[in-house]
Amino acid sequence: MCVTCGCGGDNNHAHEHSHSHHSGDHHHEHTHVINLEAEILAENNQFAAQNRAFFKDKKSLALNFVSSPGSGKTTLLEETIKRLSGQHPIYVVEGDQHTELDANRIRSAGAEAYQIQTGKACHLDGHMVGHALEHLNIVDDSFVFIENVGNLICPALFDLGEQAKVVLISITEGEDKPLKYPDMFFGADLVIITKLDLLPYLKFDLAACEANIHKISPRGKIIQLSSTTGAGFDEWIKWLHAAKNYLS
Amino acid sequence: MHEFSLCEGIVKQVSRANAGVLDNVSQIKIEIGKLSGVDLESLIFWFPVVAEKLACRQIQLEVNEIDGLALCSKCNQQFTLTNLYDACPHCQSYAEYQILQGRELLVKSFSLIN
Repeated sequence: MCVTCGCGGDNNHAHEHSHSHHSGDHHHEHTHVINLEAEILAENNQFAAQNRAFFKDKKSLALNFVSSPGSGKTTLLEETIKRLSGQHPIYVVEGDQHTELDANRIRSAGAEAYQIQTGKACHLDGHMVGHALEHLNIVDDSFVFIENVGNLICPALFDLGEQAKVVLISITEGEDKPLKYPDMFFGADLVIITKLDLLPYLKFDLAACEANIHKISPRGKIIQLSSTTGAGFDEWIKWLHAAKNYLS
Repeated sequence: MHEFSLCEGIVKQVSRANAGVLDNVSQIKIEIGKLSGVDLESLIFWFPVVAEKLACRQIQLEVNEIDGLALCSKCNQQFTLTNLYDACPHCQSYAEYQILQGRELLVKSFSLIN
């Protein structure tokens, strides 16, 4: 029994005693080291695990959509909702620093939405998403789309409890984005290249972009699409149904 | 900016292990992998701010950075992985590897003043 903190056992304790002597004074400092080996993200991961168990219980597929701001996440979701309506219930958790604008767009497209306003925070976390789910009346056999804060850095580290992470990159961003922000693409289950309809007006090398994605995620699935023309949507909807069958 | 959240995570893990008490914590040792997606400079910048907020005192932070180490699945050789987009230096294949270390985000230990 450790007398300092009252914990049981001595096997994970080390004691360090340092003595220092200054001009005749005798300082006797005792520090007591406790080994911990705890994940820094342990608290977030616990909330994420609760969310994951909730999605499993509801036999639903939850996806975490991440990208830079303005890559077309909300537009992709609006068009996806229109195509999936009548097949499965769809719920959207929206994450933005401010405003309810995106949740309103999702509601207009025909799905139930809850907006998280993160204020100063740059990413969603498992705790925020858990509370957001309390506001949605999620029924069995649904799609739950979580639109993260537009940011290619911070959301990479925070598990939300999703079954798959979808990274978007628009062709207006440049084909080198995957190399500049590798952490985000490293964890991607699917990469969607958006705004394909703008290709004739841009100097964007699609093959180089795909090669860069595959340098980080060699077997990662890539879908090219345009939410404006609908190109690539058949493949995307097919992926969604397959993911729902396999993962939920 | 997510380093602020990570600093909160560090202090919370110690608090949890020390029955909610932070008054007697003098030092925390952490391990950060170089491939973990953390900007160490930013983490070190934010830590005193978070310690002051959560513990109302300063806590010394000792960081051990861990190099990235990978095992190539193509040629079965180990190599130092500096960036997630680097090719295996032995067979030049991309991303066909298992990361052995470098993704750590751990609170290793903490010191209490007796």
